[in-house]
Parts: sequence; C-alpha cells; structure tokens
Amino acid sequence: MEEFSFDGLGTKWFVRIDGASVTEEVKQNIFHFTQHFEKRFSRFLRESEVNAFRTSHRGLYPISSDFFSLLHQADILRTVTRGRYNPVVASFLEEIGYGNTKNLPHFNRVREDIPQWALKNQMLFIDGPIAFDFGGIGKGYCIDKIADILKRAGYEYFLVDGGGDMFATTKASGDPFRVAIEYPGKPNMAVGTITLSHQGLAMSDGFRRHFGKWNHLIDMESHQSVETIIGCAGLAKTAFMADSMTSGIFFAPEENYTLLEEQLNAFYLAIKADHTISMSDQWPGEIF
Amino acid sequence: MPKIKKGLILIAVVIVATAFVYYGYFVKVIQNWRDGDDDDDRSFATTTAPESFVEVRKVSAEVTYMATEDKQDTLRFVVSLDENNVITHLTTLDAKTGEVPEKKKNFTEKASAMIVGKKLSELSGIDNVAKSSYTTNAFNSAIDRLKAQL
Repeated sequence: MEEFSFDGLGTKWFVRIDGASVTEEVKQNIFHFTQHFEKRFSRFLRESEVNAFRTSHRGLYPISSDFFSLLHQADILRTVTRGRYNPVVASFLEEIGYGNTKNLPHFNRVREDIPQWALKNQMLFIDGPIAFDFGGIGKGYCIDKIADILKRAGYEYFLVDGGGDMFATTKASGDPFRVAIEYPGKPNMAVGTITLSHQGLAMSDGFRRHFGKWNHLIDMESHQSVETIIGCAGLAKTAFMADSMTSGIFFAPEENYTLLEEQLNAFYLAIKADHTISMSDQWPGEIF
Repeated sequence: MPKIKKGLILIAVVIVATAFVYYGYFVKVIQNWRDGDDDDDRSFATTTAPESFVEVRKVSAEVTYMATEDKQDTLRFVVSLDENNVITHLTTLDAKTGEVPEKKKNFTEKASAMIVGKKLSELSGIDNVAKSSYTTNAFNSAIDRLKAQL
C-alpha cells in the first residue's frame, strides 16, 4: 500500500492507495486542490468566499455552487439543532480571540446581533455584514472532493484521511479498511473499531481544540461551549455527511438524533461527559 | 490528582452492592438455620413480596472523578435494594445538590453502556485511527491572548 501526506486546512492529511502506484501528477492535483479549497473557505483569509460579505449590505447575492452546498448542509444542521449550530459562529470566534483576524475588514456587529441568512434560488440572502465558519462540515466536504479526484484518475482502492476524518473504499483484496475510534481526550485509547467500505467516518471531540473556558464547539443560542458530549463519531456514505453528523450530534437536542440520522443518512456514536454512550441502534461497529 | 476511571467506579459500586446481596442472603440463611425451621421448601429467593415492599432500603457511595481534563465532579451513586437484596434501581446524584445532574439523567438507563476503552496498542489489524483534529496553529497562537482576557 502506497501513502503520501501533506498539510492543509490547518491539519495533517494522508492518502493511502492500495493495488496501484500513485502518480506525481495526481499527488500535485490533490495538494493544489486542498490549497485552493483552503483559500476559498478559510475564515482566516481575507480573500476567501466566507469573508466576502463582511461589509455587505442587506440583500440577495450570487454564490458559488460549492459555497451553496456547504451552506445548504449548514442550513439543515441549523434547523435540526434549533439554531445551536450556525456557521455565523465565525464572528463570535473572532470576538473571543480565536485566530489571527487582524488583516480582515472589521466586522461591525455586536455579539447579540446574530447575523441572519437564508438560501433562495441558489443565492444567499443576508441581513447585513456576515462571515461564515464551516468548521465541522468543511473538512468532510474536502475529503470527498479528493476522493473524487482519485476516482476520476482511475484509482479504485484508497483511503483519504484529513486530520482523523476519512473516506475509504475497500482494499484491493475486497476487504474493508478497519479503523479504531479514538477515546475522546485519551489519544492512546480506543472506544471501539469499525470497518469502512465506500464510507466516510468522522470524529470530533472537545479536547483537542480547547482554550481557556471554551472549546471550538460553540452553541450559538447560549454562547457557551458544548460540554454534555465529549466526543462523537459519525458514519455515512460520504465524509461530508459523516462530518456533518458529528456536528449535528454535538448541538442537537437528543430527541432530534433520529431526525439527524434520517436527514443525513448517517449513524452516530456519542460519548457523553459521564463516559456513557449514546449511539444509533444500527451502529455497525464494535464498542469496548 | 490521579484520574479515576468511571468504569472502575461503576464496577466498585456493583461489587459493593453484590456484597450486600450476599451478606443479606447469608444472614437470612443463618437465621433460618437457627430457627430450626423444618419447612425445607421455604426459599427466600422465590418469595414474592407485596408490591409496597419491593424497595426496602438504599445504599450509596460517593465518588470524585475528573469529568473533563480540568473539571472535577463529585457524584453519589444510590442503589435501591428489594427485600431479597436484589438491586432494583440505580440513581446518580450530584453530591452537592442531591439532584440528578442534567447531563446524567440517562445514566441509570444506560449504565450498561458505559465505555471502558481499550489501548490502541492492544488492537491488531487496524488500518487507521479516527480522531479529532489536532489543535491548529491558530488556536495555539490565540491561547496567550485568551488567557489575558479570561
């Protein structure tokens, strides 16, 4: 099995190819695609699409198809989580000091004035200045795009890993990839294992990105970090849906978990703060 | 303070409760033997108690553990026993308030679903590990400024 790695979206990536050698051209295509994706959707970069409306007035604006896809998914999560997940968290993260935003145009709204947005006819409606953060769904989307690049280049058996989230086909032997799911906050432990066969798997916890009294999981209704769940894994047909599932589980009220499963066609495994688990009835993995 | 694994705590509670069960049963066997009861068919294990006596006493244990990396919780596990000293109910209470913490309301129903975990080094045939992304450079650079604000 051949593997290459690179940095992107603030984390480590690797691609593992089975049964074939990866060409330099494909490596470069993947690397450049990831760089381009980061430029388009990083909230730390002035020229990114998510910062395109920081000084805009109320109105309806055309956006790219990728931007629309990400916002469409965010809109589903915003609804199912009753507003607790909201990509406008970008402005709140800036306010509490996460990330270097010195080079960005000043965001002229107070914390209580949550920017409003909606999608209409493939366009974006905003009520004024707005910025987005696609943490929790963007990486999964990027992983699937890289998988598409590999498929178009003729590769059938591979695993794409973006900072611990992944999409995997089968191995050349037809066997699935077997993956351990890390115990939240305990990097040398696993909560269980699962096999992947043309599926996406994502994992998120509140430990790795923890600063002061906050972690990166900010409830936009209460402006508090989510602490009832310390980690969550999502499994779906794509990494995008798996990644979205983890975000949804962190923020949704528990009675909406089934709705999330239906909306995203995904399974979940959530580890609560008391170290008990909540999981899909049909979660196909092994739990320790 | 060393971390106390909740799995171990639960096991400890179960062991204590089991000890009560065996203790109660042992006392009754002794009493039965001392009374010189000739009725050999009498069995405590199959005695059907009136419904109002199903829950006869409670035992509890208080434990302190690290709920997250920087937050300590103290819980009181309350085990209810019936007349045969069989566990009928398990409740988790906040040791300070005596109330069921919001985030632990489902604990009783899902106590059996508590995870213990396994060392990655003990697993074989693993192709990859699913994990949360590492702290980004952006977070690292923000920490000092955040500390100043907090």
